[in-house]
Amino acid sequence: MLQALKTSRSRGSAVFFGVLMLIFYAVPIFTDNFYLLSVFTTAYLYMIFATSWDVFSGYAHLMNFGHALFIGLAGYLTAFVDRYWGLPPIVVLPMCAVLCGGMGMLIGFLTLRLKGPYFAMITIAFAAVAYESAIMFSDFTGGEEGIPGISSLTESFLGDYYFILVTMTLIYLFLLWFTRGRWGLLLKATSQNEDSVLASGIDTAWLKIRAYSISGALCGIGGCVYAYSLTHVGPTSMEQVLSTTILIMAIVGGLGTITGPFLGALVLVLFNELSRDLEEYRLLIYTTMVVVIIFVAPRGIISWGQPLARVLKLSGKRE
Amino acid sequence: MPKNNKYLEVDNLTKHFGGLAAVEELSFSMAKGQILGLIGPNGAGKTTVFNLVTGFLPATAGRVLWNGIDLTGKKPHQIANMGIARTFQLVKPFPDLSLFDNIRVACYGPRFTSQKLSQSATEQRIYKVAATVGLPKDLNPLASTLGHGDLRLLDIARALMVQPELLLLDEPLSGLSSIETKEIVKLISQLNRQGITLFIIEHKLKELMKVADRIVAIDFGEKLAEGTPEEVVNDPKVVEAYLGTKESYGSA
Repeated sequence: MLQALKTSRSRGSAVFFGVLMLIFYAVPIFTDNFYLLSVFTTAYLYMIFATSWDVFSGYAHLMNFGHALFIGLAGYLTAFVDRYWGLPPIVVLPMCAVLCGGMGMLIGFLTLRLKGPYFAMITIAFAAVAYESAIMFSDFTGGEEGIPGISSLTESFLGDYYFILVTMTLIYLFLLWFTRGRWGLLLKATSQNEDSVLASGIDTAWLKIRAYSISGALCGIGGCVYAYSLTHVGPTSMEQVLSTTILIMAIVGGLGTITGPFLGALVLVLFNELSRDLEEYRLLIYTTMVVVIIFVAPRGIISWGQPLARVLKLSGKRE
Repeated sequence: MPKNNKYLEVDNLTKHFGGLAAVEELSFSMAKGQILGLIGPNGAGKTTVFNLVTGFLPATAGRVLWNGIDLTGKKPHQIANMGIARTFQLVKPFPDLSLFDNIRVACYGPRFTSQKLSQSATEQRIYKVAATVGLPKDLNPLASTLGHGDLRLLDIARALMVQPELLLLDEPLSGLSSIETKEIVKLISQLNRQGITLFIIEHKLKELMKVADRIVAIDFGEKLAEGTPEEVVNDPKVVEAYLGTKESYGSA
């Protein structure tokens, strides 16, 4: 019965995202422009970052201001493992997931019994400490220069493109499945009224710790692929700017929807790259656009979906 | 005292908030299958007692025993999983979730999942509980669209999904119309007949007296009286502290 209620709405969006994914997979057929393809792979990476951010922060409404911590951690692990052991990406990916998942669990244990702004502050602090450490312990990390010369993901650029795209697709589909079930419901319920969830026999602290760990693990997979695709890792991969960018993408897309941050990352990366001709005005226009979107669509661009579908239905006169 | 009178036993329970004694060496007990009422003026410490029993607050001293198990120091979700559900004085639904999902939240507690029901059986159970408490048939609207009375029913429905043996209701009748009040009183009797033991905080004494087997009256965190509704209501200390004068009760 539940399924039946959902289908009419989700059929439209499933078609939309099916087509979008097809376009992603078909892009290399139409162009071999290196720059254009790398714009798309950048978008896919940010989609991983933003959707993995959303599965915790968007659903539990606990703002993680240091998501880049996981990107950097995974990046450095990738660099070390690649340099000293030379293991293939397919082995390094799960290692990064485990490291970042473990880190998420550790931070979760330390902070998620606290409420509200404390969690946000701690996430900033952890990312900042990691950033400074990467600069300070330069014997291991290469300092501000970082570690160059990481192997590439695959033999060819096209191989890299599809590796990143498949990773993003799998994470996106996993997150859709994950949040449609009990996790999405319980995290949302906890964010709205934790006492009632507790009184229903659910350990909300443990729920949040696990969700944060999953968020970290998935971002770690993204961070690993990111390092491989740049063949370099440096402290900038943990910068506050990167964490903030991810957060903005998720908010612009629509919190607690997975698909919203997916779209938010796509739109903002594409805009950011395609507007390079605007030179010094670019940042001004970018930030203005973000402010305007948040103002006109406080629930994110995902909230335009339903009215849009209605308009399309009317003009198409179907159903 | 026979053993079954000690189904829930509150033993010298004490809670201090800084210098304020919200509950002071409070002791009482109830039998399985009973309906116990807890009354007292505003600020008497009634909700604090509920929070202590359900683990939402740690006790300063004393213990709570349930079926001989010490509940002191256990966490709220652990206590809920043992079969003690509660509702809240300020109704606490999940406003941005549908009524269906509001009730569904409680289906993910270990106590419910241990029944290993199929998805369709779980859905049926949700609709059944919604019908039992008297919620509208359509469970798709968001909880934020409900009126105060229906929110109370929703909170009770969520608590019932925990499959409680003991159900604590914190002022289930406050802010309700007389028709809604009658329906909840009927529901309380019905739940009790189904074998659920109930512990109820309520200000509406007339209604509480109809259903309660026993009543405990407290003020300033201390017990004033305990006994049958008639005994408690006629106790001079209760009359003085809670009812003002005997005449004012008669006209209530």
